[in-house]
Amino acid sequence: MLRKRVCIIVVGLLMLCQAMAGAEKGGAAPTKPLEKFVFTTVWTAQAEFAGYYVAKEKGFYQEAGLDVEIQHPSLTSSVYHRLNTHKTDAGMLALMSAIDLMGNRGAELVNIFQTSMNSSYVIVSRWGKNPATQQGMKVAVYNSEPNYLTMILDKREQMDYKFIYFTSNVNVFLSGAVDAMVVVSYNEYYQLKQANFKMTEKGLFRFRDHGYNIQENGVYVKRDYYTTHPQQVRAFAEASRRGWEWVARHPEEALDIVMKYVEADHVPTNRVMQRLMLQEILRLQQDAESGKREFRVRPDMVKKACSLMQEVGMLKREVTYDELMGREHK
Amino acid sequence: MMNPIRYVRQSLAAKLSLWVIACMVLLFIAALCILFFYSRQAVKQEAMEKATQTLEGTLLHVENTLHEVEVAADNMKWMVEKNINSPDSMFTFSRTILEQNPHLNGCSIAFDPYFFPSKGKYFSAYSYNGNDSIETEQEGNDLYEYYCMDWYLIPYLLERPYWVEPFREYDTGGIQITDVITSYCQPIRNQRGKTVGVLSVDLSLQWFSQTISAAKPFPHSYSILLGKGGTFLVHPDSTKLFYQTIFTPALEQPDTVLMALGDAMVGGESGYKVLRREGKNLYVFYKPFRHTGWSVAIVCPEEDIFEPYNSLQKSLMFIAIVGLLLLFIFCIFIIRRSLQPLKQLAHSAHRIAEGEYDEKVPDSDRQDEIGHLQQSFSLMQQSLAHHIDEMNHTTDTLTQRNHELQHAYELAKEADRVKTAFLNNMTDQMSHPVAVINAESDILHQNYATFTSEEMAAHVDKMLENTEAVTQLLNQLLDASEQGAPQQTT
Repeated sequence: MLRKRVCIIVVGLLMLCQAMAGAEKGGAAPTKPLEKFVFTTVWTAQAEFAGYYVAKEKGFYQEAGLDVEIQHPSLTSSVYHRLNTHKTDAGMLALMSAIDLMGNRGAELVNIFQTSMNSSYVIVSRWGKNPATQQGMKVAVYNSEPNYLTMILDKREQMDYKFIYFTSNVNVFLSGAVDAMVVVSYNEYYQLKQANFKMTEKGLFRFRDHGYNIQENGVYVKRDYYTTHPQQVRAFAEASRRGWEWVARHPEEALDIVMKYVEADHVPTNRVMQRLMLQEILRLQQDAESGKREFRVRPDMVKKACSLMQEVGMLKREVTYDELMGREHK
Repeated sequence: MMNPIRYVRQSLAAKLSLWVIACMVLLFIAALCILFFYSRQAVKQEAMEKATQTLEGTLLHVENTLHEVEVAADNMKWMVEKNINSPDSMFTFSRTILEQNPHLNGCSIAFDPYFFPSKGKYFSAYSYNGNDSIETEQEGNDLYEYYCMDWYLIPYLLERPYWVEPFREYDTGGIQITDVITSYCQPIRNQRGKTVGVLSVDLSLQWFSQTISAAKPFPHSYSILLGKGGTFLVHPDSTKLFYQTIFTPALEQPDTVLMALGDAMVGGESGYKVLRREGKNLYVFYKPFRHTGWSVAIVCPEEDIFEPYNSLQKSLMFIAIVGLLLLFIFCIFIIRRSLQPLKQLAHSAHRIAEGEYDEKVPDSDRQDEIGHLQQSFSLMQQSLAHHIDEMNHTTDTLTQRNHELQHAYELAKEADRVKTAFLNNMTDQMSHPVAVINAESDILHQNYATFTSEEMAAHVDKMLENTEAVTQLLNQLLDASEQGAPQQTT
């Protein structure tokens, strides 16, 4: 009799512990098996992807029924290549990159989640002068990036820039080998500050301030996947949004999670840089007009991006908003 | 144990000793302050020279090696440019430079895309110094566009030799390199003087790290190496290597001293600055490399630099404190000894005050003030003793006279008493006959008209009789006063 009572108590305690563990993770454990979902970011581990890391670590994906694996691209395998070869279910792409792939290469992509609401691109002049007034200067641009806005600016304004393609870091700029460099405001911009390069606003050209404010990174899936996995896609988007909203409320804790991924990937950075990056990423998520984090693609920006690209011959055909959002098929 | 304050109040030796010590302390403080100031300056100067010498020695050692690398590359560049139309010979050249310079990690002789049409878009003859042998390959493909790498791009654009910031090669297949390397890169020019490629020789950063880290002039000092942008290339904290620059902490927390140090180092200056970290001062001595744009520094904790000074300070303070203590004890001993006669004098005075006027004051053959005091005190004691004797004699005499006077007083008092008794007796004896006389007088007065002659005569006779008695008594009284010692009469 006593033994029976002890067993009942022990079982009860175990169930209580399990329920508490489930509660700590934010809810009851899902009743059905988790669906595998592979997501590839657009670059190596950094605070730019904090929301996704948080969604994984805090169990938001799990609660949504997904077992998400976060991968980072390499030089041997770009995001689009991975999407195309089904090595990843979803991947991050810039809006103009997606438009380029869809409009020029016939890629069938659908945007399922948008974080960036603003352009982060900046041209930094080493001479402290407005880069948009310095024709013929040597401008360093990332080899792995299409650099759409810089090319568009060059052609529209007939800047006659000499583009110098480089692979990584800001040394080519710091060495004095080029006159200017295209950076993003959340990464290389702070790398230059970290190297104590004396920047003045006069020597910066922020695209968003000069009529070139085009959204950037979002998450894309192939159209066929979008059609056959609507629930998973929606679940991933919602959990990712939850992750980003949590980041906005708990930036320092989010940074702890980011550093875990950064250190696991041996990325040569530090917490100060990642904190600055995260702060800027969160700022870029705020819509320029509403001031809110809207997590959506703006139709006007899609139209504008297509218009600019077509104007300089970068785009064969317009990609509509509906097409980008999977409502229309061309 | 006696209260120290009370002891000092009661002891002239302690007071004098304290005054002496106080003066000595002030003198010591002044002397030591001057000594410590100049010692500190001297120690600091010596430490700075030591650190600077170590820094210069390290710099020289490293720069010699860098110079060797530059010379090897410059020499090979000449060969390459002379044989610029022979692509296959580039592999030989890249091997040769490694064979001749075994401390080099690798060598790339790379050209512009399609410079050799037969070789395709990419041509870079690369040799790597493996553990046992030299491996050679043609590097460059769609995944490794070498002409976009710093080692190719920067010297190409600058059109001059350039030391590239240390980097880790990508894993692109082919020869696997795990070292962090730095490269000396020379632009390759064709006959027309146009830059068409880059010759790059690689040196492992590990060699730098070991050489620079070995520069340790003080037990807790350490060395750092900064790249052109302030990146930590050598640092005892491996978490900072390549991950941070010297300016990183100042991105969020303004730190003017750190920024000044970083600016000075990155700007190619020599000198030293003092930083404050975790409550301690750090002296940072820095010097630039001539050609690479890097800067090496030795960081010395202040406690290391001033260790000899601190030891000297502690030793001197210890000696001063012990010395003052011993001096204090010695002073007390000497002064007490010197003042011992005063104690004896005080004891003698105390005894004399108690009435021991014959108390002998100890003799002294000292000729100083104490000796004079003792002699004077002795004279005083003798004189006092003599005077006391005289006084005692006089007192005795007076005492005797006093007794006599007392006796005479007693006699006088007795005589007075007797006189008074006699007078009283006489008065008593007179009172009856006077009363009779008064009574008879009253009777006569009242009855003189009625009395007969015989009655009147009887009363007058009675009055005459008592008058006679009073007269006799008065005569006795007169006789007694003439004689001076009244006799008792009945």
